[in-house]
Amino acid sequence: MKRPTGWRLAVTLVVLIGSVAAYVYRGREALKKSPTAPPNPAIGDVLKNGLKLGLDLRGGIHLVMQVKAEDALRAEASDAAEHLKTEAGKRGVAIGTVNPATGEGFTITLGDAVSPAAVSDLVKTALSPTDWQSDQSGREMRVTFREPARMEIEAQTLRQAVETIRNRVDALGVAEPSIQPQGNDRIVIQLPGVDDPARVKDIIGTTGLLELKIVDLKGGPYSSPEAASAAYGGAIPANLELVEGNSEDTEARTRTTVYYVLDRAAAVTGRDLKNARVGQDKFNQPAVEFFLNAQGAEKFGRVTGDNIGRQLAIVLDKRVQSAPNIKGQITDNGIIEGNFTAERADALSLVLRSGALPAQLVTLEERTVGPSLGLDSIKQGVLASIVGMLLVFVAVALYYRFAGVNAILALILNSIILLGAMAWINATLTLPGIAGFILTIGMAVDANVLIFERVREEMDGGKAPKTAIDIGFKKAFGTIIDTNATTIAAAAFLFQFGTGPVKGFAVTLVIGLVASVFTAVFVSRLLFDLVYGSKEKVETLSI
Amino acid sequence: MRLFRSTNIDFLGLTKACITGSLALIALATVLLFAKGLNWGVDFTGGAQVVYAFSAKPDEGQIRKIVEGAKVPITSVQRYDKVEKNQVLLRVPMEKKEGRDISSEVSKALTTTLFPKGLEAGVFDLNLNGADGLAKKLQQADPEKMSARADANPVIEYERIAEAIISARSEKGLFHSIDEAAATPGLSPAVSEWLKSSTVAGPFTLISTESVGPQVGKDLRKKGLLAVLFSWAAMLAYIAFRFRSASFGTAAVVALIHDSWITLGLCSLFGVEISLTVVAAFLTLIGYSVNDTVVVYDRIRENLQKPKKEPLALLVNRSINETLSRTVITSGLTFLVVLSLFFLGGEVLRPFAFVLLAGIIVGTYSSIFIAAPLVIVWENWRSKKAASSPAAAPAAKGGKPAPAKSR
Repeated sequence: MKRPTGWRLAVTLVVLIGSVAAYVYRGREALKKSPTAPPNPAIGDVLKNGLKLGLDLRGGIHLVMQVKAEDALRAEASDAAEHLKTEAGKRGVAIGTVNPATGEGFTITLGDAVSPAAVSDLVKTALSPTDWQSDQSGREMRVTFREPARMEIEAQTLRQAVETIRNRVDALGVAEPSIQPQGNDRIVIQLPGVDDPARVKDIIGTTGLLELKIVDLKGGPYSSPEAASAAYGGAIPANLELVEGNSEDTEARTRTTVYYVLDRAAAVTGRDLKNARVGQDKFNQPAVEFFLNAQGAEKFGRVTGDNIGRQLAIVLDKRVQSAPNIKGQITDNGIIEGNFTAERADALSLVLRSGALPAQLVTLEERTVGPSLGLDSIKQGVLASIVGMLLVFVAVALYYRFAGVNAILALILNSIILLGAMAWINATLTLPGIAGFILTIGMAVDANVLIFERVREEMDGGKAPKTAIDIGFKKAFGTIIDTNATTIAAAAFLFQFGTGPVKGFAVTLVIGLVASVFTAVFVSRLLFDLVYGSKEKVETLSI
Repeated sequence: MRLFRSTNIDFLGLTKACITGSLALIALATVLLFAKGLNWGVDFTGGAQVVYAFSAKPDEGQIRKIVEGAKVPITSVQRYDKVEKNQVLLRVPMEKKEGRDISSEVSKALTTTLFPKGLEAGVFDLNLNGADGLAKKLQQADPEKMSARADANPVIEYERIAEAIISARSEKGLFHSIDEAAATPGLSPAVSEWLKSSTVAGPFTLISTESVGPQVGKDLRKKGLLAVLFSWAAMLAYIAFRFRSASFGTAAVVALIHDSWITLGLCSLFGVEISLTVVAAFLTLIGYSVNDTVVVYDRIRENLQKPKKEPLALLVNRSINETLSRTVITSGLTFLVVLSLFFLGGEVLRPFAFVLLAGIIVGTYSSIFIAAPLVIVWENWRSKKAASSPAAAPAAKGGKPAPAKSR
């Protein structure tokens, strides 16, 4: 039986050329994006850049951070409580004491003269009824978020946090960062090529919440929280708060912790910030200078003007950095001192410029791969691939002779298709992905072996060589599909449940196995037909 | 060349011995798994693993003392990778609370004791900083006096120089001295001089950090378990669908569990660290083990469809013999590449390769000696049951010979 070879040869060549072209195209594209690459790259450089490398090969940081939306909820509840107090004052309702807000809302200890119904009405009119609900037990009124409002704030907080981190990472100049929200409260940050994790973590993780607060007249500093509360007769009033701070002793260069008592309400916050940059403090140490916008300057001017002679606390992320005396009215600028190194001052001004995070971030997972490990992994992976491939080639050529050469060609084509397809779909090559590549070589040859063994068997059974090839391919086909289906099913679950590097493994394995069905069934057959097809009678097969 | 030419080995005659042997291995694996347990990696236990490379032979005792002195709890300090790389792996147990930055704390503690100069203001350690920071530093210092030249873009030029220096470091693992950094090929004398005068090469560099908090650890455990269970279920469904027979399906799944369990036992025996990648290897193994079995089953089914009447036992034995060469050769070839991966693929992939090496051996053995014979054992058992309760439906379905003939 003679089978036409023309169109099959064309398909094979198109796939081959397409794969090479896709790979080279991606390689050139990647080099064009890199600012430090030479304008006319050598072909070797192009080939090195055809595949996007995962963090584990390229080096870099993978971080999973949790956004503590609690902070944002508390801030929102605190705003609502303040608003309610103002409204109560305007309407002359003596509601009683509004207690400090939590992530759920706030409570009011009702005044003796007020009826619960009046406060409940006030809450309904002053605060949005779609966002807030109130219930009362005894003389205690609880004002809490409604579920949709709470969820909206959480979602908003996550969005804002992603946006802020993106700004900071952009300011760092990381190439191709990936910052993605995950679930309700997580952010996955991947920064390829970043090789000083400590600095990056510092910049991403610092909340950067700047607050300027007036220190209470009896505000300290105290050496311990107990000393502070003792000064207020055992309990610090609700409108004040206890905040840790750095001691003023700059000469000692040691950071001992002291405690201040500050107004709970901030005079100005980082929201009113226009700019921040590295400056110097009075000891010529690096410090951060900040500048306020018009609205902030107005508020700041008013507060400092009213409080001349008192102390102003500069609070960064809930820690008092310094608490200088207010010598005169200040409007639009200030300085944060804190014994910073030049690097830390630089990082801090970047953080302040990019805006504060809406809530605290907590690192849930961190994976850092240094550049030397990545490079080592690539070298070892490539070596293992080449040696593995050569071992298979030699074994197959020895065992199957000419048919073995056929299988080798199919395997080479298989590898080229695998690389081309991965480049084309922009799949990321990871270290387990390299393992998948090596494994694919071992498993792809499986299909060829199935066919060849079958052909041999048919010839042993007395079939003529060409008939044996026909039957061999036909009968082995079902088994090849079966064997690949099981491995691909396993890989599909890996893709579903795996994390980054493991996903890379699954992708490589699946593409490789699908390609192996094509190369072993279609291309190997074509090669046989090209050699034996034109001959009328084939006496022996080299198999 | 042929390894097996028309063999006619009586595999079924070995069934009893093999099943006994396998049961013994499974028992042994079970004892190991319960007595010694598995070496769970940080992916599943949570906690941190930090690897450092030192410029001289590291002293594990000293490192432990330094880190513990900085109030970082430590499970173990051990040498890692090839000896000449001077690497050390530190394991830190999981914190109850999320968010502690272990790697930075450890790095700081090590610097404080081993290289206090590194903490001084303005000192730039080439082994602890990256290309990004170095480029900034170079721009500020401008050793090439580039800002005075109109034709140069100092930002990109210094980025390129910084990248060249850091990749030279990556090639070496770390800079053992500042002269080594200054000798990076392609540097101008001005930059080399600047490196010598303005930067230092500290005694260690961070190779990798893996830190997994309690929440993520829990997620990963769940995901890993689900992936394994689902793929078992998928294999079961696939075989049930393809062979439409309880005997084949059950035997294949028994063989599959046999392979996974014994390999798991071997992991326990050799203390292989179970990471996400190792779970990936197990899933691959699940696919591969079934794959090997399916080839034998396919042949049994094909032979069943032939009109030639033959006792089932003989037919199964013939099918194993017919596919023997294929089974051994494909396993052998895959074994070869995994062997290359095991020896050359590096420290990170070694556990992965180990699982596949062990799995291929066990899987090939079970495909030949366990999976196919189990079909017969199952059929015999069913026919006995059918004989003892005459009301039960006949066991033979789907064109298989009646069980009575299989004796």
